[in-house]
Amino acid sequence: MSEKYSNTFLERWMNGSLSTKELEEFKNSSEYPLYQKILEKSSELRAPEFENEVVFKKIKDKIHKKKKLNVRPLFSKWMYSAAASVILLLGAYYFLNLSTTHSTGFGEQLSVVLPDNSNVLLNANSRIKFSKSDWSENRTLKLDGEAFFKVKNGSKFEVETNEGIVVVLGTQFNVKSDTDYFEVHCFEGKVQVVRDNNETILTKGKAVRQIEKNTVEQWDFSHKEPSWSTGESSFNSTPLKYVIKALENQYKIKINSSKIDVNDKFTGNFSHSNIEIALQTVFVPMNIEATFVDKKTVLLVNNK
Amino acid sequence: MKQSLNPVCQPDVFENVFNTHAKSLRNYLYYKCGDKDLAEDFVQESFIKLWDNCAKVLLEKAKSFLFTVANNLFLNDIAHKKVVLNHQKAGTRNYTHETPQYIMEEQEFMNKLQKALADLPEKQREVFLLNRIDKKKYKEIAEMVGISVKAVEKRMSAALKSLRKKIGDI
Repeated sequence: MSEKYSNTFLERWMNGSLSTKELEEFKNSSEYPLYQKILEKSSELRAPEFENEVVFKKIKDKIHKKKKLNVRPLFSKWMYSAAASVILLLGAYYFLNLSTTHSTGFGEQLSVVLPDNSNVLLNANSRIKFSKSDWSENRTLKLDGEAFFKVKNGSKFEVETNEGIVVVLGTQFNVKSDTDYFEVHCFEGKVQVVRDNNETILTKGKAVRQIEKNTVEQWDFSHKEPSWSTGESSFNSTPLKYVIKALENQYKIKINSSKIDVNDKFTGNFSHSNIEIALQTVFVPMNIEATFVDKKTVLLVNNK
Repeated sequence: MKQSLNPVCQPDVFENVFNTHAKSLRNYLYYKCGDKDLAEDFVQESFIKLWDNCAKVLLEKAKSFLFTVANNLFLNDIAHKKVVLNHQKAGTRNYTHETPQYIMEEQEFMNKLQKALADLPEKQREVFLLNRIDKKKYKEIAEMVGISVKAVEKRMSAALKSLRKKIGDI
């Protein structure tokens, strides 16, 4: 049989874009009946049956089997019973003193709702740890990194960091804790900040900071929430080394700062959305050149 | 106490994703290889891979993840069996005026059609049957297979031409 109709013609027929005239001509052709029959009859075919529940169950079973296989091979049979009773004992103890941990990776932010509906927003590369079971009587949590707290009124709420402790009754505040760096902003209510043996009370719009063993700085601010929660990290007269750390946490890069003075102070912001722009906004005003030596590493040198 | 757990890692969401896409995925694989059990195996493996990676897959991307994984599994599978597609018929019709002759001719046509389908290149067959049996529109087929809509059209017309030639010649 001759191939009278081109592929393009057939495509246009099948997607309905032939003109009325073309279509009529085609329908009167000798090829048409077979083409039409192929399309029609193939539409009447059915795929073999597929039972959702049956197949899903097989998948679930396989997933569970995989989990078990990861644990079993190292232990012989008799150790099973010993392991089981130990876990039971530990289980009872652990349940009374369960520690819940939440952490963020590079460039991540995480919002955690606590058992009393207080809220913690974690910035990048930060961790909190607390005990769920006795939370209402003992609202204490450990923080490593930076977080913005919205605390519901209730019993004393304490945030412990390696650099200091913040105690609150019900309020909104931001704690930033890093090696030798401790900064607290109070956005609402009243906050008691304890570091070494010094105690400061902050009310709304007041912030306090101590870097290493330097003088404790206090100042007023007007923004309503931490800038990092809306995509920008901001710094006020902060030594570069902490700005660099913040850039590394946000963008998951390594910055080589061995050739510059990391104690120079920086005032300004950087955006969380574009790493090139972020590097420029920080380093250009500092007269420093930032270049990528590979995809994940940046080298800093002073501009001559 | 809540934490932002990725939806796909939540069992009820995962099951929902399964119920939405599993049959479609199985059919697609079946049209490719013509082996019902192999197709089902690939479906299971794809969903298990989705589960393993649930924290990294956005819910909106689950379908394309599944189809990409399935395509890769298929490509890597060495045991390509000879395609013996055995499509079920839609159900008997009670046309009392059909003569035994007609019924037999129709049966013969269907046999020819099935054989011709089995002989089609896999790329043409998968697209053709997704459109004819599963009633998928070209746009969706393009997404599932990972090609452009134009490419789908080309495969459809090529399939139709091939089928006509084979059936006409028999």
